[in-house]
Amino acid sequence: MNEFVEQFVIEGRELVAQGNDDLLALEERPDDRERLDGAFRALHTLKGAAGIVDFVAMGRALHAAEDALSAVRSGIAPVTAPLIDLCLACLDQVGTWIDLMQASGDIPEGADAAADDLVRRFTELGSSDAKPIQVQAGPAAAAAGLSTIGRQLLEAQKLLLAESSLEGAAGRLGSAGRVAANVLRHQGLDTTDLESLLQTSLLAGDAPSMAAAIDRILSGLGEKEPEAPGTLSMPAPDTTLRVDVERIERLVRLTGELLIAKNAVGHSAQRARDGGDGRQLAVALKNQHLLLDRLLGELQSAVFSLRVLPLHHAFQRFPRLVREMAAAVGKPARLMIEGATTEADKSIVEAIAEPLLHVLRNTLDHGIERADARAAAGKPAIATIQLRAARQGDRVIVEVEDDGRGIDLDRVREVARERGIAPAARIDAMSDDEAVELVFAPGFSTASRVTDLSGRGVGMDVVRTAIERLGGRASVSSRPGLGTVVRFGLPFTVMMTQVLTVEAAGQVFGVPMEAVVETVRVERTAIASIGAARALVLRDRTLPVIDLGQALGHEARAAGAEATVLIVSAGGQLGGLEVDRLGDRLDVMLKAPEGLLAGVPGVDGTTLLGDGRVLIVLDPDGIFANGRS
Amino acid sequence: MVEPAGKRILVVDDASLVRRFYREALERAGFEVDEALNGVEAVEKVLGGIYDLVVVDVNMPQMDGLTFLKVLRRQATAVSSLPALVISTEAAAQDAAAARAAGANFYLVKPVSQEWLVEHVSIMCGRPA
Repeated sequence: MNEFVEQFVIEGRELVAQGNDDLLALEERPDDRERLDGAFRALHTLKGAAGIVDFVAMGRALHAAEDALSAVRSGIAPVTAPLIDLCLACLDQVGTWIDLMQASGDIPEGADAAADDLVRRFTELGSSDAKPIQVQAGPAAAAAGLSTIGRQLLEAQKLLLAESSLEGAAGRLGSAGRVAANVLRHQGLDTTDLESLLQTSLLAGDAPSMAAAIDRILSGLGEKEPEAPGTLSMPAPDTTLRVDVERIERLVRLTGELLIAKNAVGHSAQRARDGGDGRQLAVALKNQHLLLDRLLGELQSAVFSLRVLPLHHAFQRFPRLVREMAAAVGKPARLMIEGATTEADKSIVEAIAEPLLHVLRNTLDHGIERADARAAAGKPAIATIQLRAARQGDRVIVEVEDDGRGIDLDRVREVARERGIAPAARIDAMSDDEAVELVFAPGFSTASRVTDLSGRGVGMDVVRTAIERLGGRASVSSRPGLGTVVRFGLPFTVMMTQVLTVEAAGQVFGVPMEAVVETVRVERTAIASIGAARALVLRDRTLPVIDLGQALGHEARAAGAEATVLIVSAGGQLGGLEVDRLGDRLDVMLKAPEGLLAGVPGVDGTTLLGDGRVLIVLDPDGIFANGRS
Repeated sequence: MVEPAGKRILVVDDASLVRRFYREALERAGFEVDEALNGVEAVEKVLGGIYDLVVVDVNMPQMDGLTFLKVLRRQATAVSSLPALVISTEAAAQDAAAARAAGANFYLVKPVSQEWLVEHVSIMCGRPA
């Protein structure tokens, strides 16, 4: 047996045991920071060890577990029973692998499937709404409780936070935070988490969230009697939503209108049975259909509006995190937040924190220069990172902009060549706009660039994947020496996607409307063949054109006089997709591709059409990426 | 956690008897005490020194306590978040509300016993019980 493997087997077992202990203790006491850190360390060390013996699958599974615990550590995710279960399952699997390694002296075969399964389960866990395990206030906290004066003082701080005058708002917020923290300190309670919560709202300048934190303290430490230990819930994704009365009333009104519309359809059915005039009936039904269509549309948007939250929920932790990360890398930086009141679907708001954190880490690691370089470039010593959110139509745009050095495209090309991201010739031929996109390529960032922050091997590809999973798009642009902008375009709601149906090779496909720039009809002669590729000159821009039918493996179409071309934006570029016919716009609920379609490049997902057929929704990015290679 | 040496309290009141009454109680309880006679002096003190809490009267000549608080909370530096305990002779609800609007963290109505004062000050400074 290889000596590394031998050592790995011994140490691995110990780490698995330690991780198990810590996880089980954590389940008992979810607020036990030491156990949380212990479990995280065990997973992290195991992952490192897996790397040393080149056990990639194990590393992947552990990385997913580490990510999940990391989210708990940063306060983004709560400790839940499913999380603990899954981490334990991951350690069980690691234990099994170690047994196999001891028996065979080598990396077990077929570990990939088990690892994939674990990674998938961690991903699903991240998106589920598991209830956090309630923290049982320990005997110390329950016995101490809050004195009457302490309670009154906290109540008074809440009132102070409710003051609305702008003048002195920061001072009021700061002083309320100090007093609230002091009350806890005075009572000698273990208040690290609550204090950090206060601190976060303080840095974010957020009075309501501080008032909420104080509320939690008040309700959590409310009972002084030891026989009734208070419970104190940690900040966690809410499983309840606060909804405006106005929004509820809109639903009530719509329900009433829908009832009336339903009755009208019943009435038409009656007339049809009694042998009414078919033509008149058709008109009536058509009108009723239109009415129902409108009402359902309104109902849909009313229901979605119930699920929206301000992005503030995701943003509020960042000022503090950026400050800490900036301190860790020794690059002073401040975070300016704009548009935190922009609303988005609850699941988007909850899922965006993690990818944003990766981007902020990357920014501090790679984007922001060291102090001497900034001074040499004549930039202020303290770097500015702007986190912006805005609603644009049915999209929510989130941007992270820094005033750092920008992306060094020569270096990006070099790294991409070294790591074989794409054939060297193709990398050389890339425009700057294309080359910058390479940072999102899987494998672009690797562990060889370990730093304090990004050293966990999380690359921009993970960010892009996370954003795409939410139905969004991630892009990056940069100006050398001036800074970088990472931009997420996210759907306002996660459930519906608007697609344009197109026909090609006798089949109907959907193309996401967000990718469609325009549709044009051009003379076929306007599409020129350049080698094996085809291109179209449109308003002085040359766009690659792919015949959708051909891309699907059909013969080239019979030459007609005109071609219908869908201009789509794919991977930040424009391209033409030649189709036979354009269809309707549809709002569909997109399902991830499954079965035979899973992993087929160019397929975004599927959806069921009203007549029961499955509509395949295409992914222009994938089609053009495929067409290029 | 290492407990910093002493907590420093600034007592702001135009009546010397009141200042002495507070100072005695607080010093006996182990606090360091500094005094100001009115709002103007208090502003100078807080801008020039580091305090853990300011105990302030409302009715004072030159600059009253609430004006002082407004000035304090408006400061651009960390001093704006200095916790403030207002102790006033006015017992009406709107007086407490006015103090809060000016940025007071807590409001007590005179007369305040020495024990009562020390208890509030200890909690507001976060001194372990």
